[in-house]
Amino acid sequence: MLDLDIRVRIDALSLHVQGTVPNTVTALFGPSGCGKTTLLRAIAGLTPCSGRIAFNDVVWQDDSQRLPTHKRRIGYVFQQDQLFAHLSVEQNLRYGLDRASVNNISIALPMDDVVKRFDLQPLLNRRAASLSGGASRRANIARAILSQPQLLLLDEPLTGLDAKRKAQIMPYLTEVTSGLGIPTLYVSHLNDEIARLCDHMLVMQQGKLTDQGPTQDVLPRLWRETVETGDPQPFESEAGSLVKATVTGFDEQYSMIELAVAGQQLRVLGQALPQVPRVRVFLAAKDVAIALHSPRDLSIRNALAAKVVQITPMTGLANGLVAVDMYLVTPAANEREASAESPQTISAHISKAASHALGLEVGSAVYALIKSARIAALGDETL
Amino acid sequence: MTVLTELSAIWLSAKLAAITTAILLFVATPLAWWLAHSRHQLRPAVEALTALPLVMPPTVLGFYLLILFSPNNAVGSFWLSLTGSTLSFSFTGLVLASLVYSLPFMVQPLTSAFSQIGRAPLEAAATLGANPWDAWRSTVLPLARSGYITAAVLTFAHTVGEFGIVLMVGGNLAGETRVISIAIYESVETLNYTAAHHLSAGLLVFSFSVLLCVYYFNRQFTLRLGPLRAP
Repeated sequence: MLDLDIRVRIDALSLHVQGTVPNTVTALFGPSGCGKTTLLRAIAGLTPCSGRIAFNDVVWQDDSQRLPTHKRRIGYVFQQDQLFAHLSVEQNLRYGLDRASVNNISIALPMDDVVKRFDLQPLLNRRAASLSGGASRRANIARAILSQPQLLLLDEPLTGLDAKRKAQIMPYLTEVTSGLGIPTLYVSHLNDEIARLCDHMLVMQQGKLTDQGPTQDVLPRLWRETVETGDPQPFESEAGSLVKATVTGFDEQYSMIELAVAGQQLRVLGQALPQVPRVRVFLAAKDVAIALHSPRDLSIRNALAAKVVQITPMTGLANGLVAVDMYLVTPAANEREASAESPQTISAHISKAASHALGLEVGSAVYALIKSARIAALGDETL
Repeated sequence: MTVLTELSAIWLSAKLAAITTAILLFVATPLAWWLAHSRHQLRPAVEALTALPLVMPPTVLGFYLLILFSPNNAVGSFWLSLTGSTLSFSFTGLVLASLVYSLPFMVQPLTSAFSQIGRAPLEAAATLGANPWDAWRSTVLPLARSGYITAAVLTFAHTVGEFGIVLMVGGNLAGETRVISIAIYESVETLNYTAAHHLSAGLLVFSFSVLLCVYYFNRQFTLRLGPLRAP
């Protein structure tokens, strides 16, 4: 756990951050120029700051002392590739590993293992400067991991890559974030990435933390804020909700993955049974419709019983629409199973006219019709 | 002028240039690093001071150094009491003078190499567990290799070729301060054109070969590693 209470002043930016980063994968989210990179650099000890930083009860900085960067057990992936141009890929990868060995740090992540996970074997003898953007990014992440960090700081590791490269790197990032179990702070301004990779979120605006908590709680709050202000910034991808689901089966005949969400069945298209017990499912708000009765004779097959929590008129380009937030109702038979968890909310964007015609109000019992859903993240029991 | 005195002049020039280059490598590195990265308000003044030998007539620098080295002055008398010999008209005095007038030829290529490399490799190295010296030695030093080669060669060649300051500070003592350029001057003065030709042509060929080697080597260097990345 990383405890922060720090202030930084650089030029026009004044940063004051008080917060806690749990030992999981945490997104640091906010618009450009709000101080995300500065915060990351301050945590790493690269940018001087005042205040206190403690990681797992080891004080990295307070009023009386300041641990230099090389003594903080961090791995840092910079926004720009920082492979050493005068070394081969292998020498780059060994740079942090060798120094960890010299300092008697036990090697939990050995060279062979990481090289294999990141598919770097064929590139080991290449000059670092000769790598393509995607391969170079992979080597950067692998090098940081090989320094045996206790905390990984990733500064927009997918920035500057085209969609194809992003899709290639994504599995490696998942590998890092859920496969290796290293606490990670992940700077991003893309909520797609966050939804897929991060359990926890810190939201930053103009040098201050404005919200923090589990991703599935914070993301919907952010989307609601966007709806209220009508300003699509700082969000660059579609609004929607993220729900936790349990994998229950696979229907080979129709290529459908069967999931249970809040005790209700949800079927999504898929090619095979996911080899994990739990997944996170992304439901785009525009692909959720609302019915007052359980629908029949409809191409939409997924209907989840829900209760309206909030109805918010949208403005700007979305004028004429309303955002309807609902929580999923757990059927009585499954109540015990699901009662341990907080109710899951989902969001639908429908026209104001439709909302009036249905007579929707807070507390209305409805069915959320899910036109499309996709699995956003795979995980184990803890997801 | 005999072959022996010619050889003695060549040896003296080579020794002077080698010692000057070696000392300046150590002196100029921290200075160039500071110039490349400091935001201190004194930086422009230090930069100007470092570049001064480039624009001053060598005789002016030599004149002031001669006065500084004189036993009537603090520096000169201190040296005299320490070693029992004067700084002016001695090989040691020549080395000190060379350090001053060759300083910009070492500092400037290093400064530009360091500012091109930037701080980013040091930061990356620090996050990978390298202490500041280790980080500098393992990243900046090898990345600045072509800068070092250029700086060393320019310094060496310029020290071999300097005339004005050497004449002012060192005079013309065989085996002590009579370097190649002084020997050529003396040969011409005494109308011994054959000796002047030998030394001049030798110096010409030497300088050209050294520069050719550097450019050739640097080209190889570039081809093998690709261009260094901008910070």
